[in-house]
Amino acid sequence: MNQFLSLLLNGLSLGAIYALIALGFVIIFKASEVVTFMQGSLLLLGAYLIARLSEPIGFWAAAAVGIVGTAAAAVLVERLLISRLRGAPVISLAILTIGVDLIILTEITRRIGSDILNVGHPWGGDAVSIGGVGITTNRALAIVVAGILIGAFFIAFKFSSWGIAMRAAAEDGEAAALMGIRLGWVSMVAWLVAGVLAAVAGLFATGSPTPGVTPAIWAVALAALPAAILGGLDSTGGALVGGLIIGVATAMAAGYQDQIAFLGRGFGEVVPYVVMVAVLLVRPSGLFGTRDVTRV
Amino acid sequence: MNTNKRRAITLVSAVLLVTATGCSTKAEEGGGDTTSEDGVKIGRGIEGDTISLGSLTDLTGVFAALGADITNAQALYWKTLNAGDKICGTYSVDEIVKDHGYDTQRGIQLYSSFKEDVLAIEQTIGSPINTGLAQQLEADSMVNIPGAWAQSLTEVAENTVVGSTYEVEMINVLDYLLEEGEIEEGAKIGHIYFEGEYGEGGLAGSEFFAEQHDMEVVEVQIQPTDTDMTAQVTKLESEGVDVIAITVAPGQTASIAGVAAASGLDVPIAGNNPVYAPGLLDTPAGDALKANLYVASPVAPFDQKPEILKAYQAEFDNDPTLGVMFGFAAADVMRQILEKACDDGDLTPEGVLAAKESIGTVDTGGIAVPLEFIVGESPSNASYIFKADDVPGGAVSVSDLYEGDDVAAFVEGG
Amino acid sequence: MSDTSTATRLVKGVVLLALLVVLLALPLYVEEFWLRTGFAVFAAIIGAVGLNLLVGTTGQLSLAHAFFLAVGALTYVYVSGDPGGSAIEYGGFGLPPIVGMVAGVVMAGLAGVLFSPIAARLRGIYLGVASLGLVFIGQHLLNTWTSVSGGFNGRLAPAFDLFGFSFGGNEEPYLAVLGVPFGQAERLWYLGLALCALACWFASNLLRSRPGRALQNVRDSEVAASVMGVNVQEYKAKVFLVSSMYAGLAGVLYALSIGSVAPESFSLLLSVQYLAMIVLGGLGSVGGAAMGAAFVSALPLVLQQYSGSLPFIVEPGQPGIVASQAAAFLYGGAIVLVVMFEPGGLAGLARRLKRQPRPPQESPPVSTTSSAPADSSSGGTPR
Repeated sequence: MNQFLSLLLNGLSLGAIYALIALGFVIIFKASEVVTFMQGSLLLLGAYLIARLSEPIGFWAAAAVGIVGTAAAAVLVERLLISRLRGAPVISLAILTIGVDLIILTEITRRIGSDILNVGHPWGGDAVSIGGVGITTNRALAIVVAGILIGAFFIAFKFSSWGIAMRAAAEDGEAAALMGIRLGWVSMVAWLVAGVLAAVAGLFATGSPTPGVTPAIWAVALAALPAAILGGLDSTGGALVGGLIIGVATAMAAGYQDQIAFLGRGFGEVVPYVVMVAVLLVRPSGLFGTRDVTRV
Repeated sequence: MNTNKRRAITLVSAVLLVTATGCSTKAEEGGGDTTSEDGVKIGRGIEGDTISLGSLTDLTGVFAALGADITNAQALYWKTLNAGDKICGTYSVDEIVKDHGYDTQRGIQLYSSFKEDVLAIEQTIGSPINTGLAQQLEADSMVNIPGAWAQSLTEVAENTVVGSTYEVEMINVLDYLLEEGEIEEGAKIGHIYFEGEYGEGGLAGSEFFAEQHDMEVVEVQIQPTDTDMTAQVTKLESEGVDVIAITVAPGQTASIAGVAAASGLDVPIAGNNPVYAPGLLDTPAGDALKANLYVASPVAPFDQKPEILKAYQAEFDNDPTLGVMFGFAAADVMRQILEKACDDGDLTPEGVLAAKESIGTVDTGGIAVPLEFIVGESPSNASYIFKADDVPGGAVSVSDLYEGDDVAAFVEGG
Repeated sequence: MSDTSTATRLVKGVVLLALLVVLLALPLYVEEFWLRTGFAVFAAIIGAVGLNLLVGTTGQLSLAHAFFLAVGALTYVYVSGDPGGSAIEYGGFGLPPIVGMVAGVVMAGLAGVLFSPIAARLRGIYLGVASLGLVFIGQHLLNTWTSVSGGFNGRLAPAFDLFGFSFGGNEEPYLAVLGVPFGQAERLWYLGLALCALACWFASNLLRSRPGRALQNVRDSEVAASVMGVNVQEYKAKVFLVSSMYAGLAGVLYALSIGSVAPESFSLLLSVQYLAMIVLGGLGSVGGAAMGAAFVSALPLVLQQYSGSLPFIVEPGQPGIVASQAAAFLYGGAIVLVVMFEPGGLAGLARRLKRQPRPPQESPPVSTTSSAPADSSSGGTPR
């Protein structure tokens, strides 16, 4: 039982990190109709900046710079590339982000080289006990911060002018534009928010129990892609649910691998994709996604 | 339209002409062995007084840390040798270094790019690449030093594995813990290991050891991309293991030690040599590693060979890992094989292979464990055991050469 | 009017013929390294042409290409390979290699057909990401199913031979042309060239045929296509079949080119590289896919080979940009530039050059703008 609770808690904390990234996917998709494959390199960029700066300027300042820097990079990509291709085929835009991702990933990998960069979180490798179940402070904080950020986002999405504009744009871009909503502005803010979320996810993804910043954390964002898809690419609530499902399923599959040994050892790694394919078979637009209705 | 046609016809005839008349440059490829002035037979990979050695390394992929250190160390080794004794008193060594970035196809293609130009290979990183090259190495009589210690590598005559196999390493480090009273007979071993030959080699070692000492092994397999070990360690904790054996990469090592410490699982951690990198000491798990990690290694930590550390640091300014020691050891083994071949009067690839097979026990002066190359057997029964510490190289040895009591039985039985 | 089009066709034919002659003669002149690179390029071209039918022509984004390559490669080594393996034992039927090759193509096609019901349910980007899952699940399968794959380190690929004529291994019967002994590399080159030419010829005929036009209709609008009497689901399934058969053949050649098959070779990165090939070459064009494949698969090797003489690339071990990183920058940057400025890719560029033969200011810079300090030298990058 204790093992189950521990796995559940850790799965939720992992899921919180996935949810942050998945939310970024969804926001960008809603605002600019782009499925971005570069969340991974944004996450890596954020973590890299924080790790490099935390020694000279301190952790908190480094975290601020890292988050702002990552958001700026996301906005830059949106302004320089994406915004000029409004109306281009979805596939071209997706491939474009793969190209950008490749460049950023290669450069940061080159800079990190063979090191494991230490982020220098003030909470280090501390652990807390919640109801007799141990979890690292870093992961506990990840749940709290992700909760706050996602909550804040939902409020902004519901009530702020940007949130309303964005919902209108996602509903019907042309009509929204006619109503005086500046689609470019909506899209830019979406990328900015996604950049912030990616950097925060990077901040926690590189803390204990993971050793620090290595190029491999790029793959964390890849596992968040199924989370976004299974929740429904155009559903913000779906991103949250999807993230948590993937996080818990991954932790459980790794923890109970003896019981599912017939599926092959190391099955935990592929759980996100198996869950995603299974859900898509039943619901082709994800759990909460809008169904494609074709009218002629 | 007429111009177009004329142009096209001219183009085709030009191509045909060039093709037909050009005497193929490849046709007159000489090859064949010759004899140098001092009566030594030479062939591929030797031009004048220069021996060319190849290096298929990883400077941009997942093993970039290891690759860079080995490459630097070998460059330094040959630089020193070329300025001094040379090989056989005559030949200096030139390296052809290729970076495959841990991409198997690229590695194999790069092999074909230099195989006509090198006498032997002093470093090949990457088990899949070593596996893929096996047939070609045999066809080319290409003596090769893999940057890996898998049992299957020893089954190819050309491969020169510098160190014990993963199986033997794991037996040695567990035996050390048993001798020192860190674990007891009948203990429960939790083994976290990579899928693939590396992980399964380590696991075979711990399983054999467990059989001999009435122990039980709890297996947890992971993939190299997985760096969050929470779920795995939680499982081991709930099983109540007395020692954690690991056959993983440094990223996982830090996570395992960190999670174990956080959850109060204070047990020794026994690892194969690739689990550790000195950079881990800066991570939050540093203290836990210093307290609990024991590693079996094919090469001595720097505290046994301070002069090598000094020479390296004079030349390069990065923080050296034990890859440096391995690089020196591999270069030294290669030198001894070449010297033997030269003494036997045959520095052709076949001569070098024959020298490797007949060289007997190779002593690298305490850099690596003593080695003897017999096809299909672990080249050594011994390992160096070290603990993590805040010294250059990040490791201090806790024993001299260590050979577990069960190793001999394992080598004979397996 | 018809005069010019005859002329264009003539020129095109002559250029193709000249290209063919050069390719046929090349093994007489160039080193083994280049022939092996060439063989890998032929394999990549076949795979890229297949992916292009799916993505470029029909508009179905797929990241699963690496998986279908794996199916082809694994089937080949299992059907034609012998049982073996020391640490991990694996099986094999030991049948003639040609049987293995055909089986590889068929099995990959079958895998494509099995996946197509999922594909048919999903639209556009959902399909893209679901297909990404296939790569991961496939790799897990390969690593787990060791009796077929040989596990993590993989297994050796049997050399190809055809009716007693060997393409590697023993090199029987002995053959020399103009004094050049034909070894494994030379033989494989011709095998690759023949299969590649066949694959390209079939694809371009398919594109010009009725089904080919139907596929383009599906891409442009599924609704419009179905109104015009195109059975959208059936065509989607068929194009999945054809595309994965191409991938299967590419996988067999990939195995022959490496000489062994390891699960790790079929990672997501391979899928991304194939996507890069067809985008760079120009979506929907057979010739473009071939150009893109040559560019992406040969670039890292070419850069490495000449790293000594290229100013912006350092030798391995030095601080700076090494060849494989430079290659990643170059094709990452090229993808961005192509999508931004030349959606037709290399093929579109070639078309434009032909239409207005004014040489100056026509070639856009290939290098990236900021990330690689390569602007000055990359104009001369081999393409």
